[in-house]
Amino acid sequence: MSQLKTIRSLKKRTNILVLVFMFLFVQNAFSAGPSGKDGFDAGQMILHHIYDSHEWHVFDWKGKSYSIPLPIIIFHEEKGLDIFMSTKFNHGKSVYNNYKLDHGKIVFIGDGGQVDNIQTSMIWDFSITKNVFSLLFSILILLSIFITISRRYKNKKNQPPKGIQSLLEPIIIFVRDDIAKSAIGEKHHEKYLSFLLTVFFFIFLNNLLGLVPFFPGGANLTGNIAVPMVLASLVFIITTLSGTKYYWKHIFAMPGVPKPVLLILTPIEIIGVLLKPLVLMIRLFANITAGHIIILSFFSMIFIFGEMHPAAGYGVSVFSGLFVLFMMTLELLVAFLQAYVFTLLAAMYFGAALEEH
Amino acid sequence: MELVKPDIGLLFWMTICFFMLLIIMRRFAWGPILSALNEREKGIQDALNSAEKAREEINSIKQNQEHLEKEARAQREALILESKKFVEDYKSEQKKRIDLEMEKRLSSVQEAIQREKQSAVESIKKSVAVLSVEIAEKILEKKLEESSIQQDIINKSLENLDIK
Repeated sequence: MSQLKTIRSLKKRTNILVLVFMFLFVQNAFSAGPSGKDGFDAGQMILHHIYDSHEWHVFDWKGKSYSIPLPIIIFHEEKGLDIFMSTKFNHGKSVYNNYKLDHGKIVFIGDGGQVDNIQTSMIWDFSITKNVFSLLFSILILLSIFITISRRYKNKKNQPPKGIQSLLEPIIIFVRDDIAKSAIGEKHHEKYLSFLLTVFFFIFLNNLLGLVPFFPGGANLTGNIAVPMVLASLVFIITTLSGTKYYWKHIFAMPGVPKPVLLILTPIEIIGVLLKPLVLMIRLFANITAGHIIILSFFSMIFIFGEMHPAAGYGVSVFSGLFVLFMMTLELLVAFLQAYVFTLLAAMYFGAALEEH
Repeated sequence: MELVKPDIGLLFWMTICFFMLLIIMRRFAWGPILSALNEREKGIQDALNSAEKAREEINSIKQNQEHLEKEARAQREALILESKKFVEDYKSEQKKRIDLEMEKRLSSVQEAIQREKQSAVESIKKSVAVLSVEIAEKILEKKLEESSIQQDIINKSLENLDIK
């Protein structure tokens, strides 16, 4: 009986927690929208969330913006290095050291108070933005989790897994057996295993963190083109470096194909080599970004209808909430699926490059 | 399109951080984890194999034992049979020997007795003769002359006396 009671109370507590989280997310989403006089702009609010940011916006309260300040690191080709906190910008209202935050971009303000485009083009922005912070945070999580686990593996050999180890071990074995071994083969898979595992868990964790609606989650890291770009570039480099003679021969001069056909086939094959990582990049980027956009769109509907009439806003919020719940659940699946697909395709490219006859 | 234009800052940090993550994870996480997993899998396989082997060994030992038991039982039976026969043989032989000995002894004793009897008869005969002579002498002290005749008579009568 008492057990049932505790379960029930736990359920109640989680329900409250979910409500609080949803409230926070709504707050977060709404606060991000420009609270101008021309009303709620859903597109801009959504894009603002998809893009990177120089400060971590938490919420607005009575017209004031509350955000977590992040370090700004600017390298200017003439002025040199400049490091300061984002509070100096005062949410884009102030100019600091001739720099100003303008719609998420740092611009150079000339002496006349106008944006100097030539000087702006000399700015190299290495700031610890929301995404960079999220990147560092996720790396910290990955390192702390896996180094803790590996210590257990080292100290307690030949013992059944325990705790978080038993949660992650099946995934590690899944990546090893069903991705690396099946796509690359028994012989060579070990060489690529640490890369594949790192990529898998990096994408998976960041996809999940992207779904958490408040600090330190909510950054659209895997949905930012730069991150899949680096990952896909690494896949491309590794594939190119591990290509065997057989692999290159099949790209540049497919055996058994007449010469005139080769004239068409070879360019296609070369494009294919470049296209593979490109598709890898776009798939991850587009999937995650699309998920964020859909969820935010459902939330935007509440405010769009709310502007028409408050009652309409409340009415729509029920359906929007349910749809967001559904999408969130789907995104949890997508988070895993995209990590799996990226890793599997990378492994298959490696496997193809290693193929011998 | 702002959306597909990568920021140099994020590219820079991502490249550096991901490389570091790769190196650290490879050295401190995946290495130990994967080797431990392999080791454990190998250990389990080995344990299974050795269990199978042990079972086979036990089976063969059991069979061997059964075989040995059977053999031992047969041997015991044979031994018992043999010893029984031996004992019987020994007994009968011994009996025969004892019988023979007894017979021998009996016959020698009988012989001895016969001999003793003979000698005793002999001596009795002698002493009877002497005694009779003495008696006769004493009787005939008075009738002296006819001693030789009487002696003859005595001898004759003694000879008739058959003591066996």
